Amino acid sequence: MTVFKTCLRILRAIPGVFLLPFAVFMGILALLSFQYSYNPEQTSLTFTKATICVIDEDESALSQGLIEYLEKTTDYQGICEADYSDKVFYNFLDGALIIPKGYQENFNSNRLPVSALVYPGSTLSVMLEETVSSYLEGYRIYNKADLNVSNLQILEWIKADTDNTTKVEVLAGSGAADPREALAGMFSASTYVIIITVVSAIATLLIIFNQTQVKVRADVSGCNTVWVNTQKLLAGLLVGFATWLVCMAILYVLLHDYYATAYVPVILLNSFAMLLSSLGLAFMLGSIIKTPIVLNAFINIFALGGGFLSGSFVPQQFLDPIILLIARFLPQYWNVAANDAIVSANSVGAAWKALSIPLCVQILFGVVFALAGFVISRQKRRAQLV
Amino acid sequence: MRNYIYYRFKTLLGDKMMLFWTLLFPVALALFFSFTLVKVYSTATAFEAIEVAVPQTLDNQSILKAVLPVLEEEDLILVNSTKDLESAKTQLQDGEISAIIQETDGIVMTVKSSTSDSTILKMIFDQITQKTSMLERIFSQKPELAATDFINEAYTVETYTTQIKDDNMSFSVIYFYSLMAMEILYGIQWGVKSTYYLQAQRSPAALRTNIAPMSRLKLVLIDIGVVFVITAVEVLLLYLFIRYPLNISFGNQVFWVIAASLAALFTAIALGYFISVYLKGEERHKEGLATAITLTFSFSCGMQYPGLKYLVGRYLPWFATINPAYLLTDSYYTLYYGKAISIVEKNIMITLAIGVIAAILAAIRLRGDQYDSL
Repeated sequence: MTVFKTCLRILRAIPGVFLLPFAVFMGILALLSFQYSYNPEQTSLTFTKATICVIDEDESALSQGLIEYLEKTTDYQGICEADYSDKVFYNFLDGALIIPKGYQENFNSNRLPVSALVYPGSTLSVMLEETVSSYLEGYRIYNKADLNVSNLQILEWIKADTDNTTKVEVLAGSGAADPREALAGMFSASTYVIIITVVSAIATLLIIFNQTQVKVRADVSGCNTVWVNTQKLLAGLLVGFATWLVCMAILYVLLHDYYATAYVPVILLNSFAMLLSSLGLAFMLGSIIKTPIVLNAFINIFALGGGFLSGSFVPQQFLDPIILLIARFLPQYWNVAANDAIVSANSVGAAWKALSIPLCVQILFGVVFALAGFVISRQKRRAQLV
Repeated sequence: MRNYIYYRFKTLLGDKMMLFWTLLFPVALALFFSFTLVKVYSTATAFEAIEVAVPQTLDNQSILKAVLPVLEEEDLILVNSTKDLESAKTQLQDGEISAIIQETDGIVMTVKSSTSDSTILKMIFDQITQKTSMLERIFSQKPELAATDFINEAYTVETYTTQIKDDNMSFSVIYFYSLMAMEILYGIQWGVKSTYYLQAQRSPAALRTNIAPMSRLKLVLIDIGVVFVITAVEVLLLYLFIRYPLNISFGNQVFWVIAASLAALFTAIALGYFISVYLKGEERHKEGLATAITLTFSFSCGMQYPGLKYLVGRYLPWFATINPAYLLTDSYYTLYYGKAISIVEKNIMITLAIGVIAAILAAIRLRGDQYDSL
């Protein structure tokens, strides 16, 4: 097993091939954890709250009442700091409200609007408008009714009225936190690290062994060519599986709370199919590309570009249909599509069914890549013999 | 001298991989960003009317009968035509609608999970529920109002907020600004690369250069000039690509965009020279350090997560001050947002100061290189 051991020695000499993608992967997981919120303790509905701050220029009973209401109904951050517009721009705040001076005084005639700095046209801006409206509508209606009561009495009534809420029911079988979306999102992002690590490691090995001097030495040695190639294949497969297992171990350590779902085996199998595609691609690129530097450039574009186009980093629903059409020619697309299908499946059986086609396509990609690599390397060998 | 300039260009541009990483890779990244992130930040948060089902026939006394048309008119909700409860449940389960709304003893909303849509719906219907209790209180105090048009007036929703209009606001621009910053920081790599051909002990080409009958100062200045031209052309090409085909705005003050970019470019090259002449060891270690600095600086100015730029500025202001990439993206952001030019001027001054210090230190070291006399 000299060749096999040499392969492993070569890989030990290039730790950057493994360490850099894994470091990037950890970074991506950390960033995605902001996007996906999952609380395994959650057993009932919890509604989103807009994160806001307020500038109260009026300082009236009405503005104080509104702020008290906002404290109850939003993720209220207090009085806005000087850099509140930056905070809104960078999404650290969903909005900032400015209650103008003289607001209560002019409420019934020449009413001044409450200014809201929000991300233009965003869902949270609508949420914020509705929250403010909930409180101030009460003030308008009581004033309109002209009940001859004090301002403070009206504010007390509004406080009591806003405790009345709509009855919310949860559809049977829903409601508790579902980790599938978060899990699938993280696994979709892992396609990047699987491809880049597996392909870089295995293809680099093949490229080194394909160098004329190394190849000539192997050819004149007493080893059978088939046995040499088998050892290279075994080393490649070992590296591939080991990389995948490390990737899965990282995901498990970081996300073990998310694994409390019967859909995990389906997601894992989908990820394994990605490994098979990557192995095929590695064998093909190892046969075509002549230097590790060119391989590094190509695989970075393929893994990163494919990840962007296929929806590994942003959900496919936000991608242009033309982009998605192009992405169909990439294995990552099918992996992400399968993960999305698993998220929306109503049962584990439906998830297995949804996985079938993407799984086959990913394996097919692997087979086609590997066959292409085999044909190319055979042709090269023949050309050398001639 | 002309020959020397020609060969410096030829040597540096001969490194195809360097050109790939410093030009084609950023262009490809910009393209990927525009395919995905721009669309995400322009549509992911945009509000669309929320589709609901009302699987019951509403009589004239019903509150929903009165309010649903108003809500539809305001584009807050979209009521679909399903009248069968089981079909509506299937639609909700499949994610085709966001909620089922029914009116029995009061308004009841059925949802699948807590999303921003279901939160907004809850707010809307909470408001209606609150108005109902409000009207009960008002009519108990002043019954004569029940006979008037007061109910309709109560259910008419007025607008209380006005959005501070800022159509420029686009989170995605930070990705492109940090990409430009990364491109400019590649000047560090070029600086490292350039000294490889300048210090006699480091390469045969540098050895030949040093025995050429030309003053040391002239050699160094030509070298810096060539590197500056190559990197400036790369930056310009990326800027034009981002600005025009991808249509990413940098504000209207092109002069300041160029000034900030050139200052950062000078500093990046100077840092490259500084690292290369002071760090001992193999070339790959110097290149590795240059890459690590480039990536760390780009990361901290929001390349992977734009919010990080804000966090660094707020919690690590000293790091923001010594990071040319941060200062540059801050200048771009300031120009895009139309804020005070004084911020840009200050950023340029700090960037240039870092660059000048690095350049002077590198020059001292280069000047001190002594070789055996022929």
